Amino acid sequence: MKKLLIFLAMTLFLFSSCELFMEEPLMKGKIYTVIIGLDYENSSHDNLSGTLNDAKELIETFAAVAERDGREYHNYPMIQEEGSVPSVSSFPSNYPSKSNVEYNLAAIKALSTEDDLTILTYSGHGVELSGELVFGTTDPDSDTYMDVTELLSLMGEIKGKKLIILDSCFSGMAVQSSPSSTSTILDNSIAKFFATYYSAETYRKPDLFVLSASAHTDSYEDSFPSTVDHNHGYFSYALLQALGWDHPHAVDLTTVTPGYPPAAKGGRITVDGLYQYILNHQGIDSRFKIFNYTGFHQHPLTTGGALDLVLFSF
Amino acid sequence: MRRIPLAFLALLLASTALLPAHGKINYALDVSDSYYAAIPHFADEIPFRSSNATSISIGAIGYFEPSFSASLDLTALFVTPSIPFGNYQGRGFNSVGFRLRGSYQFNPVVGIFASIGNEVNYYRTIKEAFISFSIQAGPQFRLLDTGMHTLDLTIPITIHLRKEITAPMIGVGMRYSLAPYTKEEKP
Repeated sequence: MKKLLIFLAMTLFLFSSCELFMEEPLMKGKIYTVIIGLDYENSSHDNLSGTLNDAKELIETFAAVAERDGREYHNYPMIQEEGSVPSVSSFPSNYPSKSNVEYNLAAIKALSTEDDLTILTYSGHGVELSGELVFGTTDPDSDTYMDVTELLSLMGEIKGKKLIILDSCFSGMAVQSSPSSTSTILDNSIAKFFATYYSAETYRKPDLFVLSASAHTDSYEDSFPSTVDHNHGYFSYALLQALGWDHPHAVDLTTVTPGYPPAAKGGRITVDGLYQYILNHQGIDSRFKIFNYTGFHQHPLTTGGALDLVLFSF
Repeated sequence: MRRIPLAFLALLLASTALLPAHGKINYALDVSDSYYAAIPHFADEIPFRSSNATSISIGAIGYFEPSFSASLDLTALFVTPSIPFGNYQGRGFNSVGFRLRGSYQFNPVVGIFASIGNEVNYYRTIKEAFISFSIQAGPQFRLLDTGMHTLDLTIPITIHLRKEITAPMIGVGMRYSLAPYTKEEKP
């Protein structure tokens, strides 16, 4: 019996030593962010009142988180706000047209290395059922829509780890199904679980993750707090909180110092950590409720599979 | 697809009804805690990722002879997220399933057991589900046997077969069995 216990202890030590003594490949390259917000006030689309607040505050928040992580930070802000449409000749521009987004992502592609992290956030409209993103236009004849697969493809070409954060209606369409697991939000069938297990598609360690505000429904915005005329998307407001942004509104954003991100666990912020925080703190039901019907619900989604991505470590 | 669980349920009910007449039915409660080594089938930063796995099983129906027993266990497994390493961390999950378990006693103290199982697993955070299979074997040491009550110390060695991961587990557990239709042994 004593020998058996010694054998078990040795085995456990041998196994656990893998993580204790192997050199850890921590991602300590640069951080690139492309933060997009559109209020559509110069277009035929419905105006949105929270998207610019989402984008402007995310810019400050990611800068603070990157600084806390001790990593070099480069931001490509792309905000469309009330003003006139800039001319095409002003490229590269921070105007969130489809071509400018493609231009900026191509620029990051040229600069990025395998140690870098690129985050794209989008606060704007999503087209019903397809989830297509709706960009501003610098040319009345150009296409203002971007299919989610096109965005995934552009981000996929960038080296290093990537995260797409979408606060738009039907943004769950950008979350590709995992070859090894099935979203119970979209498909809760045991037959589907078995079909996934026996499918020929194989799981690969993903370097591109998606975090979406909604699954296959609309996403919503509201004023935060309710007594102040300062709107956000429910999802983005919870995301900002998760990253440590919690401040009185109507102040100069550059003077605000975000606090320690409450979504960090053990000094690390992961995609799942953000997802869990948002799910627990968003000010709207995540599921349809029969006995407490409010009419609105939105359920965030994220990339499935066995692994969670570490974004920042402090 | 629904015929299989219905046939299974009918078999279970028939067994439950018939076995007590022979006085050889027992029920069990099994608790174990294991080290969970997730060996990926894909390229990863580390050969395997470590988690802790806690298992609770209920032996819903069992049949026993003096040196042999067989049972159908309903099992719940709770696996923690892996130790963070590099840019990734293995996701934690819960699972429920069933196991067909058999055991054999070499003598009043030492025995072995083995089982096969099928589970539905659920990543707690991201609400995704997946199927897995498992095989388990190990020694067991009888600590108590009164005829009606038995208590075994078990050392389960499990292979958890997921689509993208094979996970050996090794741990320690206790299994309590109750044979309600058996008289207590006389001292």
